[in-house]
Amino acid sequence: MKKQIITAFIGIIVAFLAGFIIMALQGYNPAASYYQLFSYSLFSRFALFTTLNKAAPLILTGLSAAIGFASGAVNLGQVGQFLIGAMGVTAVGLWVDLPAPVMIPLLIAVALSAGAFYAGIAAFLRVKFNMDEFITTLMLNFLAGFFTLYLISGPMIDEKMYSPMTPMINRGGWFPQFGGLNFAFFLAVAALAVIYFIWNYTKIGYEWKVMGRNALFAKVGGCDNQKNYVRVMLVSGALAGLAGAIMVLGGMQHRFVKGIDANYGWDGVMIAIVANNGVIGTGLYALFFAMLQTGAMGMELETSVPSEFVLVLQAITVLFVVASRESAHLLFNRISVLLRLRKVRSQERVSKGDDSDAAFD
Amino acid sequence: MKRTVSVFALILVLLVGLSLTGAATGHRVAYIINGGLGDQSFYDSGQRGIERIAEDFEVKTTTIECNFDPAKYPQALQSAIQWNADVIFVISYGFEDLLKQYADMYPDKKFINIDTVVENSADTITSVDFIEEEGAFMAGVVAALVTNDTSLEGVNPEMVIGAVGGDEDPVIKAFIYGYEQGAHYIDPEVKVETIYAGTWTDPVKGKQAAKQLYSKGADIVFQIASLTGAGVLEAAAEEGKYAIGVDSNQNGLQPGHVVTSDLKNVGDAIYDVYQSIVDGTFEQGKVLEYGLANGGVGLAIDEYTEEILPEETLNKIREIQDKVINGEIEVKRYQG
Repeated sequence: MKKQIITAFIGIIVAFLAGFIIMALQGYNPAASYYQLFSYSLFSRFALFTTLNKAAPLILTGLSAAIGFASGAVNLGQVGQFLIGAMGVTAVGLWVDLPAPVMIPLLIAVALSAGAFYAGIAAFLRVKFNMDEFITTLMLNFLAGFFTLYLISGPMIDEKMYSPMTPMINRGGWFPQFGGLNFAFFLAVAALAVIYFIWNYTKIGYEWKVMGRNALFAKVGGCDNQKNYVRVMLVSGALAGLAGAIMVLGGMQHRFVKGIDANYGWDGVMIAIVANNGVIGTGLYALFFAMLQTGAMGMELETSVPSEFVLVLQAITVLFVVASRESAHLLFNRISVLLRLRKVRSQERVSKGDDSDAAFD
Repeated sequence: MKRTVSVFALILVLLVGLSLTGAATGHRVAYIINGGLGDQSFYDSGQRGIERIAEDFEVKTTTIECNFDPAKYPQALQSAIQWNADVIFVISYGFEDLLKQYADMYPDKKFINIDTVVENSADTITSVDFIEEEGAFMAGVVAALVTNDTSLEGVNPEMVIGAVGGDEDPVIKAFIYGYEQGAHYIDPEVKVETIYAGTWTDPVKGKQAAKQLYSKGADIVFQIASLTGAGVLEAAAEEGKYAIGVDSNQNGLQPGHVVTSDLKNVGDAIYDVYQSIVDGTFEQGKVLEYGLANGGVGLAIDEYTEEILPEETLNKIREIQDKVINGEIEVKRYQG
């Protein structure tokens, strides 16, 4: 755990140093740009809350990927499940009008089941026809993308608008804001806590973990791998679906806008990979990437560094942390072995130092 | 661990200390776009206007790209306010109602909405609206003349012309409407095939769409799809066919294949509006119309065009353009 934290810190610092050099070479002012990066993502209430709001979907898609990967279910369908979750709550939110205390839980349930349903298709194909979910979830992403685009530019379009989007959902489904901090963030943190609990303190979480490490061992040990696989896929899909839903319920527009998925699905996969599929790590990296992505606008605004620049920072962080994880551990081991060896040697020298000196004389 | 934390804290403190000093006085102009720069078309055209403002009026300008990420729309508006922008030019596809909210909240800021008409309750948003139909009419005229002229290299006898749009939205539909009128003015027999790519940022899809149109017998394809359209121009060069660029002058991007470009002079319009603010003739809450007559839209005819089209065709195009400007030819506007 300690080693992981050190690798993460080194990775982030290396990325920032590399970014510093790149910006300086391009003729920007790196120190001022970094200051703006933090200033527009942390240093004011609005900035901080924007970062936290941005982190909410990243936490959820990250968790979705992390628990899938850690259990050996390669769910790469976050994008599709996200879109179907968002479309599910939009459709229900448009046609159902209830007071908020009833409507919000209903819509959350819709989001979870829509995402789970969509991941369930891939799980079904795997269980019945042994089709690799690696492929099917990816393909289903395209289906969801075109299907939702068709809906928002055809049957569900808001005619008054200049680009494809649905009308606003009914007011009861809007998430409350707490001085700019959206309810979505608390929802994401709650989901994180639930997953953490399941993962570390329940039998089923243990079974998933064992399945991810070694499926054969889990089977020999008496776990029902097929059932566990389906469950993991459903939970993973539900989380991604919820991420999509909060973009509709928690945003400021309260409608399904074209491009609503942005890059949340793939960022989630990236976060899971860089966090080595750990639950807490996923949450922290989601916050970190949300901070970078939020602050990017400030850099662009004040020092005209293109906002795409943070993608470079992200990529270097990911590359460094992932690539150096194994080698760093080896390095740490070697250092500790060397230290111990030196200790042993010096002790040896102390104990038999006199004889050897005597022999040379 | 403790040391790492303290080093990190030290770095933070240093960064704070290095904060920017000496903010510029005078006007600050922000340009908020829903998409991203680098499309060599629509958004870049506006950016040239912003750069000219920065140079000529010595004001501080900034550009905020949302890259089609809806989560960034409110942040972009809020950041522009925080940055203390006095004049905010905004291309608000996808967040028209957010723009209304912000304009109502900050009535002392000058919001100028580009390319669509957005009206808030306090009526403080000024809209710059382009008469796309007129520019597209001229593009249609050129396309029909090209497909009719089998002496041009690569032109087949079939009377088909194509168009690739980004989204199926009212502005693009207005383009198509004008394009068809122009083509049919030359020859009512000409058939117009349209494909909507569904994206503004994917040249690969634009290329596929264009190749599909060429295989249907089209000789020339009009692209109205921002960055997606770059693929259309590439397809023209690969297939040995022709294309028409949009918004910026794209004639030189694939020399010999981009016949002309239907300019939408977003940059000039932005410059004009800012000039009027400086002069004091600016009227808030108005809808400003830019058409063929005042140079808001129009064809880019340059040496690349002259290389492809014979002199008589060019004269004919200019003649028709004059007729549209003086009202002899009436281009019908698209009604939603």
